[in-house]
Amino acid sequence: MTKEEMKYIINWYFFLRECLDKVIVGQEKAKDVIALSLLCDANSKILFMGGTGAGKTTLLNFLANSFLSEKITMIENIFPEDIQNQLKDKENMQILAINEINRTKGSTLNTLLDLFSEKYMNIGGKIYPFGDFHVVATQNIEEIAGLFTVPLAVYDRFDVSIYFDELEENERREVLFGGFKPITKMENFFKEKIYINQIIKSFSLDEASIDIIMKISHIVRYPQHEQRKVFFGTNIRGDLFLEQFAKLISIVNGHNKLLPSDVAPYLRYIYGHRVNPAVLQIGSEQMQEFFDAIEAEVASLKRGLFR
Amino acid sequence: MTNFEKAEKSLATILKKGDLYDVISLKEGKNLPKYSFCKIVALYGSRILLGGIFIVEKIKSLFVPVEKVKNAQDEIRKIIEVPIDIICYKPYPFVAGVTYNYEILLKKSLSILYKNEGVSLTDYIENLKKILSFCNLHKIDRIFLCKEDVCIIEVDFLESVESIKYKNILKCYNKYNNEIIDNNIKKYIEMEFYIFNLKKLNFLISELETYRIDKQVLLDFNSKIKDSFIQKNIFLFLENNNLKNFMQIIKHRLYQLMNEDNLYKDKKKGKVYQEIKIIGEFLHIISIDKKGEFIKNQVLSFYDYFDILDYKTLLDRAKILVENKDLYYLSALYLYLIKNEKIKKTEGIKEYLTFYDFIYTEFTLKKNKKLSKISGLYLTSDRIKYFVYQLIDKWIILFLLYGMVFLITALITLLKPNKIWNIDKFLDCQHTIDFFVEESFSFEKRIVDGLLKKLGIDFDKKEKEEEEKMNEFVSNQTSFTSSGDVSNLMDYYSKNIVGTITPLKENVLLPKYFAYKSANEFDYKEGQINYLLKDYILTFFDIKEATPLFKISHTISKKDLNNCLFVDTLWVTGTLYPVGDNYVLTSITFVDKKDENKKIIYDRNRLSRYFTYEEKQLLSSMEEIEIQFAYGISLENENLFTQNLPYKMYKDKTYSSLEIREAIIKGLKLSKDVTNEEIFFAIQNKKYSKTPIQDANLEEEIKSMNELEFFSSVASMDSLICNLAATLAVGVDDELIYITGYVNNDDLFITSNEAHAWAMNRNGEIVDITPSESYHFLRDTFYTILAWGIENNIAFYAVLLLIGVFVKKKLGKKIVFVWKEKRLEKLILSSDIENAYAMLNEFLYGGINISVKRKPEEFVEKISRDFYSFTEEELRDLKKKLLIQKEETNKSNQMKKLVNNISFIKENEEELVRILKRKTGSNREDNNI
Repeated sequence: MTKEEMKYIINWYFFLRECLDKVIVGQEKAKDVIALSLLCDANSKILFMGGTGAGKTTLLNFLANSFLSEKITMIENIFPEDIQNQLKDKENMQILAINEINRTKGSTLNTLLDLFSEKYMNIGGKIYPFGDFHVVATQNIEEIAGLFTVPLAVYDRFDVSIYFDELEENERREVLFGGFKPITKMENFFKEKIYINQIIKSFSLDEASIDIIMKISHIVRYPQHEQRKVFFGTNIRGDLFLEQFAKLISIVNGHNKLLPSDVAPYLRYIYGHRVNPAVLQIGSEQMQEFFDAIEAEVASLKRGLFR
Repeated sequence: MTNFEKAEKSLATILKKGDLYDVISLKEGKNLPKYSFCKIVALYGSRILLGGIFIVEKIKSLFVPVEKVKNAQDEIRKIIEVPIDIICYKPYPFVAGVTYNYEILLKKSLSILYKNEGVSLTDYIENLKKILSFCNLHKIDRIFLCKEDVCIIEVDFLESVESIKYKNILKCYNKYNNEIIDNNIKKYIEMEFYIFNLKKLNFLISELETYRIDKQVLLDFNSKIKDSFIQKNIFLFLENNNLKNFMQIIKHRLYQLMNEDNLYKDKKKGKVYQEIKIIGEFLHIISIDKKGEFIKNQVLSFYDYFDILDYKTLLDRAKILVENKDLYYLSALYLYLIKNEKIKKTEGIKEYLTFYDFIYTEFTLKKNKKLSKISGLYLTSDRIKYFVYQLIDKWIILFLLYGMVFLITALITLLKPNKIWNIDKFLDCQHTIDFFVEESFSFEKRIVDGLLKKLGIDFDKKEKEEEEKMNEFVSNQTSFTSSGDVSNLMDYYSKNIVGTITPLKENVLLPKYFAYKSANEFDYKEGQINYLLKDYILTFFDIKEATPLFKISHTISKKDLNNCLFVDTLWVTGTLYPVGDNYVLTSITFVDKKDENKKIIYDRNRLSRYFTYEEKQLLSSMEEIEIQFAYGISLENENLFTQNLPYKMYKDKTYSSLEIREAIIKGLKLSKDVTNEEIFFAIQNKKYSKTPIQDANLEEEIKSMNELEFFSSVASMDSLICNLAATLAVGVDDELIYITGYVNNDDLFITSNEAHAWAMNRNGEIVDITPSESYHFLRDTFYTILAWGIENNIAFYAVLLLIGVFVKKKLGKKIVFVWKEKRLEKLILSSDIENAYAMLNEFLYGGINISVKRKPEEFVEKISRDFYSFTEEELRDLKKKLLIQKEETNKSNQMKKLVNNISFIKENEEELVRILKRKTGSNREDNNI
């Protein structure tokens, strides 16, 4: 990887961040993760979680409107056939936007599994292949009534999950009185996307970086919980995405090798949704504390000695 | 009016009102505070402070939140569900002698104390686990566990754990603990505790768990052993936990199994009887033949008996076997249980009170007036003793006394910083110090004594005893180890005034040496030189005509007075004679202290040397008699004391004075033809010590020496005391006479502490060759330093320094933070920082690095994350390596600055991010690479 290529990717990263900045106020970390996951993989799948009014649907709509997209809003009575009929001719779509993913039954969602991972749909024995596309979905976690539990297999297909925090005071002020800002459209990005993905794929990490990734995957699998090692239900899908993500994150930070501190704050986005908190018998707040500990452990890893 | 009269008058006014300079400064309001003001401040400053502290302590005690603390402890007990005590413990390093110095430095921290209150081992382990998780959560790293509870494990690791007695935790250690210990609390206070940290506690729990009887293991055995009796008993044991009974049953059954066929036929010996006894972990095998002779008598372990290696193979063997299965399983069970038998269980104690609970119940009882005293608390006397012996050192007292005066003078110089203050005025200050040190204590003592007398408490006995002791010392100079030299400040306060000097004219130079007794004879016996000390007796003929300059006064008892008035005339013994100049006695006055009109003056102008009848009656009516000797300097060459000194006498001496002189020279290792002055000089150059013979370890030897050996060995010692030095002087010079008396330390009191011995010749020349004392040296240097300090306004800087220290303590961290934050802001907002960061990364890890523009607060976050795992040492290392790689560009400078600030950023990340967000706003600048 040359310096010019690095600069080229960083430029695109900042372009995406700028676009997102204009759409929603605050949620800095969430915007970071969206920009990074759009860049790092040709068909990354992003899940937005959070309470009402945090800006999930706004972002979803913005992304859907920027590209060639298909939009599904889940309701309790929607049938798998409805979804199949809507999507079967749309093999060129760039984004699949699913609103309120947990407002329908798990069995309906299972029809999407093939589409997510293998990029084809099987309708009545006939195979419909698709090109590269991103998946963006939202889900509400604070309401109790009218929600269904999403199968873990569906969750597992998502690459990152982003939790939208409540707005802080200064952010609320900006939303209310900040005035109108013109939106920059992201159309140009999709023209260059193939080239960007090629560059990232061709970039190979050095041995020390690979070592770090292996250590991280171990820490995430067997984290310390109440003074004992517990098995954390993660699988290879998370690690695969981590590798891609790590490559991009090191480029964005301006170097051609991975530092543990670079990737540490993003671990909760990659692994957070892959495990059911009920497995550990802990609540979602404790889950955050759990990831704090994991991040601290990862950040304390050292990348070799001085040169 | 003549010129002479005019001059006299104007001189008098100047003397009275002060000179022109003084007057002008007074008029302008720039004069110094008066001497008396200094006195009052010095005298009462410390007292008011003490009183203030006392009152503050009293008021504070009203608001001590006992219930609150008790509730807090109960709350924690509820959370952990274990009856623990929370202790604020301040550890102190075990350095002999100087512990208290470090004690002040170490901080208090929380720790947990737990004693098993009679629960079983399994519950105990569970409790320990609860404590461990609690400590882990709240970062408490000190747990006290009772030694008895833990001692069941015999692992070397316990040796590495520190142990401490409860009384040492409570800090009633040292010599005084006997007085604190009440019989009620003895059982608590004598307990020993181990001090565990979290790591060690974790290890302890894992060790203890191996001793725990596992239910599952017992059930396993139950399924394997076919003996129904044992099966029943296993269930019984699981219900009632009576290990002792259970063990006995198993032991008995095992004995039965082993000795089932105790008769067998030996090929050689025929019928043989064999018995196997079980003793602890071992088997005792005895076999006897027909005739009753021992064939076998040995002790084996279980493993040797079954011919196996360890416990595991025993179980394996039992699985394979078809017959004798029960024997193997039973012995395995027995071995498993015997490990647990070592655990001593405290049974029966169900209501266990910790020491804190005990004290709290006593406190509540006292509150309800059912108890008069809480046992186990320090008494006031203990507190004072602790304070005096543990915290107050001689040097601290010195510091407090002088430091306070120093501060006062500093305040004066601050208030009057112009040049009025000069070195002459400094003498005032010196007087203040003397007054403070000497007078204030005696003043207070007098007040207290007066009060006590009014209350009817009599301390006369004690005073008399002290007087006797003093007299003993003066008249008995034989002991070389006792001395009254002024050397110790602590002794200084307990002084006894022998006489007071009052100058009768202004600017009188007062004499320093006051002779009391002299010795013209001495003999030597078993390491002691016995001087025959003689009083000099004053008679009427000793009173001469001269202008009186000063008088020495001391009280005299009626008994002594009767001895003085010998045959109706004056015959006074035991007075103080000023020596040095030609001092003569001018008059003697008897005054009643209570009524000053009762007065008899006895001088040269009297009509008769006998007392009249009226005078005798007056004398007998006096209540407290003070005798005053007035002295003046005679113009003729005569001295009261030296004129009447007797000649030196030696009776039956074995050695001549020349021989003694040679012995002294030999001891001093000088050549034979030295002059007397040279010898004196050599003696004076030695060190001063109160116990010179002890210091030289000569106490035992000296008794067997003859006179010559004694003199030479005394002369060869490193240190001397006044009377030994004087003895040497007398030994060297035949004309010198041994004198005892007092040396005044420039004040107006002669005290018992100023007692001294020296030599003098018949012309009145004093030969005092006592080595100089450290105390005088200290005093003098202090004065010179103080004078220098006042001249250079050092006090001003000292106050500034104090203010500085105060400010640093109160606001230091904030100031440093603000200062560093400003520097950091400058650095981070500069355009080069990204480049510097990229360069730093390249320096650390190599590879390609390009600079990426970031928001300042993002940058702070990133750096603190990057260097999360770097220790301070590594950062220092990094700095060093950067210094080696000198690149004279701006960027490398920036890089060094960055490294310097990393540790600060790491520590204060959140605050910095907040500050930077506020300052820079949330708008992003153009993101150029």
